[in-house]
Amino acid sequence: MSRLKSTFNKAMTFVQTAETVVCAIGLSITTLLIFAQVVNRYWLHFEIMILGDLALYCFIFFMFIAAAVATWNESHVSVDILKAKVLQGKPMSLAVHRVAMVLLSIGILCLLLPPVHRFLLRAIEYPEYGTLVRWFNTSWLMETFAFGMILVLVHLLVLAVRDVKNLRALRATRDRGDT
Amino acid sequence: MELGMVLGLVAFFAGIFVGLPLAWVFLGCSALALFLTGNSLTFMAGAAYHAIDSYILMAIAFFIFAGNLMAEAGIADYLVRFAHSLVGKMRGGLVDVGIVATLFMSALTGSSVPCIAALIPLLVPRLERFGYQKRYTTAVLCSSSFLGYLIPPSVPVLMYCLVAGQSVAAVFLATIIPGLLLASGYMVLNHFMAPHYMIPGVEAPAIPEAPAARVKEIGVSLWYALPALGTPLIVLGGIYGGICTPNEAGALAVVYTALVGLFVYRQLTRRSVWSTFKTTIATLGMITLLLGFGTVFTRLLIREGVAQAFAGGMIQAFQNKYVVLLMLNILLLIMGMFIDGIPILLIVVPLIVPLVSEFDINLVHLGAMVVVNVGLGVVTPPYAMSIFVGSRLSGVPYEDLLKPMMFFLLFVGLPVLFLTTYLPALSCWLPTITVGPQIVGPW
Repeated sequence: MSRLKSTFNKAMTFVQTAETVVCAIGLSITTLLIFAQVVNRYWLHFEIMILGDLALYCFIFFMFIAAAVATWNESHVSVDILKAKVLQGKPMSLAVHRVAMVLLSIGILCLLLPPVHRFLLRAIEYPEYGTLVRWFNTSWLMETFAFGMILVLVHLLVLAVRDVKNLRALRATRDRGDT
Repeated sequence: MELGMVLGLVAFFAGIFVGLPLAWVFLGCSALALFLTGNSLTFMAGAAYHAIDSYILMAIAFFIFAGNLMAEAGIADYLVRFAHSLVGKMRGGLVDVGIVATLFMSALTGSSVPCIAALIPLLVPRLERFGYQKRYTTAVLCSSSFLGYLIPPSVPVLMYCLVAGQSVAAVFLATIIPGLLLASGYMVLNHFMAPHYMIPGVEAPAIPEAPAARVKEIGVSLWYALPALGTPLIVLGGIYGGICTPNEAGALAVVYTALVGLFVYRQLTRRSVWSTFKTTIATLGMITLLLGFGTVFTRLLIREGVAQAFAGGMIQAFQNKYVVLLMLNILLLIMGMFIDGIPILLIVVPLIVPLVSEFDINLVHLGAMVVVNVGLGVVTPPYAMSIFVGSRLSGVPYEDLLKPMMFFLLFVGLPVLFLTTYLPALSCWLPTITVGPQIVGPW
């Protein structure tokens, strides 16, 4: 069991690193393509029309993967009044709140999955090629969107497992304290 | 409005109140409203996907990346020295250094939190040694961080342009005069407040008295700060010189900042660049989720006639442009007290555009007004991002920062908001003479 756990943890670390590396490469390529567009225009006096579109495709691609990075990083925006005013100083309640929020997030994301699935099937069935970048199938980006949402779900599930574990540990500590 | 939509909106406020991440609130209440009104959920995937397909969003990504690189590049020290040479001699001038340095940092980072993250650790301990109370200098820096939203390139302005479909060049210029007014107001108020927050018996540092020595100090400090100050020059010169589009200016800013950080200031290391990538990617991911699902929500509001109903209700209730503007300000200020800037822009702008169009309010003017409001939200408790960050960085308790910050909010922030709202010339004059009346429109 512990070997399985360790393999899973290693796999998740690998996934997280891979996502960050893919996004970093994507951001760098997007920046350089746009930079090259300006350099071409003013320095080489030769506008390569495809650069702008190619940069946009690259940007969209890494932004959907970045959504997964933001999920495991927990860099979300929320209004924390309830936590700050009502739950402050109550570790058990805070832990329950965390579990509830992550489970609710998973539930909500699951509502999006059927429409994303239909969107994905349509993208696969009807490939759309770029106007300027003729070899680029923009359906790949729609597929990346679906893939990104699955990655988000996986990370939310991992967070849920972690939060439930924390809650159980807190409860165990409290019970030990009571006895 | 259908009952399903009303229940969706109730779920929206309930979700916000319980502290569910806003992206999931947007998605959840949209799904609920669609389900209850008997509509298909299919449009959600397409709307979320297409929200990311935008060149302006690419510009936002570049400015965030360049801002984070700047914060890591160690330029704050040079900017502080330059600001000190300019205003250090005035009464309370050492605190004015912080305000002027924030003004410069705003033009480099395009946001508020990176400004204070770079300046508080640098300035607060130094000013304490020179006799200024920590809670006062932290409060001034936190209040001034709002300038990050007003001095271009500004990420909230880009977001406004993305949602309202306005010219980036025009709205960038629209917030400059309110920003400068705010900085001047802060400096004037600081002149009167600083003496009340001094630590007794501590000597201020000596500043060269002779004019020649002062001019030399200004020259030397400007020379060191010049590479950093090149970023806003590239961005603004590029956009207003018609050389490049906002996203191209963003890419140039990233490349220039990286070169300056690596080869001029030499503070960017492999580790700090990797950390900048990680911070930027996490922020962009958060924006992807917010913008994608926020677009689903706002499309639904428009499709179901909520925006039109809101506009109709406001027109019927107030029937006067000035009262409507006042009500919008109150709404935005209250939202700013609880919600972060980008979600406010995503929720409110699509709702109020039909309303302001009825009253012939210029959308560039509206942009300035909305961004000033969103900026005030950063410094308005209880949910004031800059106070949270400032308190954590300086070690001053949150409550201790509130009193001095309230002075800056009441005597400078709100009057500037009032002026921006009721004097359209303040925001529309500069864009009109720069980018032309055909882009700005009548005001």
